[in-house]
Amino acid sequence: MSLKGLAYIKGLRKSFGRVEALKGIDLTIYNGVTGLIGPNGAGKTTLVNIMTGLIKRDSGEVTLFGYDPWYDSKEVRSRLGLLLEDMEIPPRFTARRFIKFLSEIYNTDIEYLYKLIEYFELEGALDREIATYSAGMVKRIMLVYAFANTEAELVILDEPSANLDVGGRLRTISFIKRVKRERNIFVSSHLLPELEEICDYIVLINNGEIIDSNKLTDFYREVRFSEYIVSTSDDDSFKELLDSLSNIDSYRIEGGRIFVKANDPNRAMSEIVELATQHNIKVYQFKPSEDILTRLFRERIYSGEDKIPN
Amino acid sequence: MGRIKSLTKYEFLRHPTYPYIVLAIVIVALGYINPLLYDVLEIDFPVVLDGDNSRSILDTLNLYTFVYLGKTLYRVLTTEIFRPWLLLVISAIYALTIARDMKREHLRFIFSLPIDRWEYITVKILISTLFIWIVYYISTAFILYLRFGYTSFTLLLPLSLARYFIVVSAVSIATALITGSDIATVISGFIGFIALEAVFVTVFAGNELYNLSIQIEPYRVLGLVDEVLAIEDELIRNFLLGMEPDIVSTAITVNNLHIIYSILSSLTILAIGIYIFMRRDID
Repeated sequence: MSLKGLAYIKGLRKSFGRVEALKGIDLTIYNGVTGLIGPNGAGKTTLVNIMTGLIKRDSGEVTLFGYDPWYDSKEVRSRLGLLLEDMEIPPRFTARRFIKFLSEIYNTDIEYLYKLIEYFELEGALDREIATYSAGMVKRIMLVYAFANTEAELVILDEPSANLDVGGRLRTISFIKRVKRERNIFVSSHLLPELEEICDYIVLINNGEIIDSNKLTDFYREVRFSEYIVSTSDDDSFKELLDSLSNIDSYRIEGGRIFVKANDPNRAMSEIVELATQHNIKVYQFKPSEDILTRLFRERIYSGEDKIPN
Repeated sequence: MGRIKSLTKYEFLRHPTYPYIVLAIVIVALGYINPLLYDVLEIDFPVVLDGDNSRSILDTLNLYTFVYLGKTLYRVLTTEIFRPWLLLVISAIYALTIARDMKREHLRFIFSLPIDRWEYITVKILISTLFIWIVYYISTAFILYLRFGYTSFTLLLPLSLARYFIVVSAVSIATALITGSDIATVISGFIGFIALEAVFVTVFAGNELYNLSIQIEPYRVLGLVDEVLAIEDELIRNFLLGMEPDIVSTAITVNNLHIIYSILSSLTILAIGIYIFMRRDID
């Protein structure tokens, strides 16, 4: 995959009254799947809205596929697939009528749209008005919409998994994994473990500023975990041995599980395995207590442990 | 082109109809119960319908007949004193209907499609205008049928109400474009419209027309409906009877100029609305 930029953003600023939503951000979005993470009010939706031409920037440069999303909005949107926050899919339309509309607008093969409907398990509701759908079904028809434009050079998904049940989430993630070879995706979400599964790049945003932007693999090298879960064949017995470990800084027991803190995880793991083996206990797991993006979030957004307790 | 056709079909299908039904009922009811109805119509209509001078309604291309018909119908719909308020109420209903239809969530969907704002505005204005034109047409035709059994209508009939029709449409759409759904802006839109119309009249009206307006306006402002009607009726009746052509032509010109001023004012407001909408954040 080449490092060709799809979108270039430079010095982007946007204020709403006195509130400065974006404070001069620089960002390049590359081919692949890019995840945008940040707390509520960080500026994620404002950034997405500017990229899609829904709101006008105050200053700075934004180009997608060589076009300005505000002045050349039609050209940009004809190359996008979109799932936006607070977007109303026509409630009085049935799904059948809606995908017919989409096939006309995007000149997309209707059979492909029926396959999407089937994938997102909406075939049983094809002839029902969308107004009668549950929140999860509405999100699934929105996903159909987002991927309806087969000419899209970039699909932007704002909270694609919100309102979906576990099955719906797994299906969505699986779908994105399946299409990520052919589609470039920019996804904003609070569900960090899901992003970790699908993303090639991660962008952290907070208080209207880009805190960090890098390949996920680079973050794996950079991020330092401090707490690990230890799972053994006999946790109750092993708990009694924890005090004798010299390479861990501290430990805690929560919900019957063992959590250890260690600055040098390799040495800690070796010691744990050695100690367990001496007592005929098998170590099943020694893994960070949180996923990488949660850790990254904690490190870069909240500057360490204190503000968000483990 | 297929895209625009799909958008038009889509917007047409989702356009709300119930406020128009309410609007039609209001117009017909007002027309039916208006106390001025007999005073105005029963006296004057025969002159138009089957007078010796052959100015029948079927002779619809005759501008004078239109002017007369427009005035008559308009009086049926409103008494002069309530005119601005009724227009405001009708327009407010209409503007809020459009505004509700153009709510943020819908616009976010529309502008996630490869459709630019000009295309959307054009489609929206055409559809909204078509809907309200149909309402005016059916309501006015129905009033004439109810009172006079008159059933022969041409497509040009509502054009006699062009001034009010354009004002209502343009100002309502403009205010909806500007805000979304704010009743205060609807009222502001009309205040702007009235102010603009006043500017146009002041700047462009000739002495004679201005004097004529002055002659009528105080009565209008004071709510002395009979006096206003008497002056206007006299002017029109004189024309219809072929008398005093100067006064009649002046009256016609006044009327036409008022139409032009109204249309200019409302289109100016609409242009402002479009300008704001083109730059508005849909966040």
